[in-house]
Amino acid sequence: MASEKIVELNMGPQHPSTHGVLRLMLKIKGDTIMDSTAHIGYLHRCIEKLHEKRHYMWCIPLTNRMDYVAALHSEHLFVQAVEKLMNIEPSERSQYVRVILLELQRIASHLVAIGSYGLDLGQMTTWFWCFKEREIILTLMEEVTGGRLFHNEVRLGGLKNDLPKGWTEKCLSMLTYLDKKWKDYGKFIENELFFKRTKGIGVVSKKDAMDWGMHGPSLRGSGWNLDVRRYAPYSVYDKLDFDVPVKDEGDSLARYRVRWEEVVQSIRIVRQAIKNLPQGPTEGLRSLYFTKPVTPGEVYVINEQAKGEAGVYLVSDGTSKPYRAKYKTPSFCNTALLPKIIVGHKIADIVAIIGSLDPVFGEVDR
Amino acid sequence: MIVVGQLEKLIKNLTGNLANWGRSWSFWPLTFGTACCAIEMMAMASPRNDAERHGILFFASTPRHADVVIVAGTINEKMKPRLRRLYEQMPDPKWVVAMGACEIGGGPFWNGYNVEKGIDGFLPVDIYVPGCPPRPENLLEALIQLQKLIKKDSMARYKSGNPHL
Amino acid sequence: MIQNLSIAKDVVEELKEKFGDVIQSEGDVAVVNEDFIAKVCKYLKNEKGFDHLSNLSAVDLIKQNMMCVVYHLWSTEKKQLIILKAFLPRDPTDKHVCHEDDVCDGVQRLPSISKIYPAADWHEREAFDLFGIIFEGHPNMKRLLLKEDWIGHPLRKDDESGVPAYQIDWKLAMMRSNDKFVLNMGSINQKLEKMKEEKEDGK
Repeated sequence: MASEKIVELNMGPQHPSTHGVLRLMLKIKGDTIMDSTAHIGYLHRCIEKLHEKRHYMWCIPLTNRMDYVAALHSEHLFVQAVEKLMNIEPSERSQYVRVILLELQRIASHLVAIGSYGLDLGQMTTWFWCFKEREIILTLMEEVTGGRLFHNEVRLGGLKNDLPKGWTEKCLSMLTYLDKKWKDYGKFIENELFFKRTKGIGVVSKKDAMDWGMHGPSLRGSGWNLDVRRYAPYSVYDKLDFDVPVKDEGDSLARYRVRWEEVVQSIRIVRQAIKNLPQGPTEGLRSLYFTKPVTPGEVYVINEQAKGEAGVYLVSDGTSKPYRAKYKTPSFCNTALLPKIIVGHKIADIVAIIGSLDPVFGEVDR
Repeated sequence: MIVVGQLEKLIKNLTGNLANWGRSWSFWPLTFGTACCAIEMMAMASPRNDAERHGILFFASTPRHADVVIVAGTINEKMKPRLRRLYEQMPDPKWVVAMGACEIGGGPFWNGYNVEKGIDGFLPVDIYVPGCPPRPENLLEALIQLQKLIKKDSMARYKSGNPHL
Repeated sequence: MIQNLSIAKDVVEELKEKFGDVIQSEGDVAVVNEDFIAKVCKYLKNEKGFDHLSNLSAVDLIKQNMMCVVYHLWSTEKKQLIILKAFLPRDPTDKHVCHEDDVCDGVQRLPSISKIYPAADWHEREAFDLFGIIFEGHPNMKRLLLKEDWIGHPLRKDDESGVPAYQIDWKLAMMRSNDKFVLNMGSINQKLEKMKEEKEDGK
């Protein structure tokens, strides 16, 4: 019979629904997937080798291009590592401003994730609405830093630009607008068809999620209450009050709902940070560390990025260029277990699973 | 006789221009986005900078239906033969837009061991859009310039002068 | 505040007592003999509760003629980190092609921990791809990020695949003549070659 033969199907690097350049070789029997392998590397841009050829300050624009949807997180990670090596504590106001900008980036990243997820499952309106809200956030970021996607803003010991006058009022009015709309969007997205396509699809049990090395909202959708801002706090996160959303089911619907609630919590954090914003200097030592040598040694720092736990292992040999910078990114770890999750599902479920894991291929391939 | 000749010329002119007019106002780009510039390409199609009012719909998921390929994202040695194959699968007439610094000359990664320094080594490019990434308004302006080129029927396809093509 | 990842020093002492000579400690880091890394990781996972592999990276120490693989393991219960290092001798002639099922024999070998921590699967493949370190017992030791018939391992310090970052001669690049600024539109390759030729002519 024709449906008992195993056919090899290629889901190539150019595809409208894989979130980037991912190649999956599937072995299917009828419509069910028996086995698959993932091939990556179509966006490998040699970022780690280029770090070794540039001074520390010139590496910051390179780190922006890794997670290109929320670029400030990677900058913050790299600069925190250098600050830990040289034992420099940034000023109080600059830490609060960094937290405000980071959480705005997290909202922007989740908007892209949820919008693209809706588009993949057939809800085009979701995509249009999410990108419309994202434009407001990008305009706010542009008023502070000068760039929509790539900012080059974080410096050793502070920031490049301070917040302009009147920015905090604009930000607060944007947040009240988004808060009202976000609950309506949630009810709009979750209709009967959405439930049929995501409930019970791509279930990852609690034990498997930790064994296989999942990170971020996907891990919290399987029952683990792990967030770097809680178990290894950095910057001013230990002074801010927020909840970490956790769901138990482990399917795609749970992962999507964790992301939806994280936007609500991020809005809460930004409001608190604006209320407690102290006066003071924000300028970093930008002129000093252009060619200044950094103390030799090695350091490991982790951050909670929009997609999960990211870490950088930085080795310095006492000159003004890094010796080795290794980035551990959450999308790399999440994409590695994609072939294990999709076994047994239908071909149409692959799109729902990839969207709920939310990989960004600048991070996977670096 | 002279009138018939002129009538023929008139009809040829009209239908030729009609075809160009039709091609320029219904532009279907291939959904090919590799990296960061793809996010700005998606922002061009979003409600604030609406590309659909110019006839640019991102409905061509397969190269067989596409008119133009907007190359958005760094191309490296692993992706190069796949992009060339996609371009050869597109039916004529077709155009190429090089969006972003990575396609013009390698961009911020020109130093790397794996990165192609510009796509005009293996694809004939019509319009270059500088920026890292270019703003969505930039890209929209570039597509409007391409529409003007098509209406004039000066198909500047082999301008880069590459002997491989 | 600067992030403080607390390091489990008492566990390092316990490892030294249990495994003896195999482990030496350099400050906070436990340096493990390269053949015993799998046994140490299994003990740490099953009995000490270090269930999360945070990072696995390789470093090329060309001046000491060695390569180093660094493991960061995290315990979710006790919120502690432990750092393990394994040093390997360095062989500059190890250039693997390895795109068919041929056996790679080289000096830089380590036992793989992908059966103990399945999260290490792709990290080890990446270390093989970019540095040339072979992990024995890995189910699929093939290249991950580069194309399959690439020769060489680019992240080593003596690998010459990339373009060297020469110092840009800003005066030449600006090409100021009569206060006009020339903006280059189009391919940068032709411009770079032209610049090189003119520099040589000028000399």
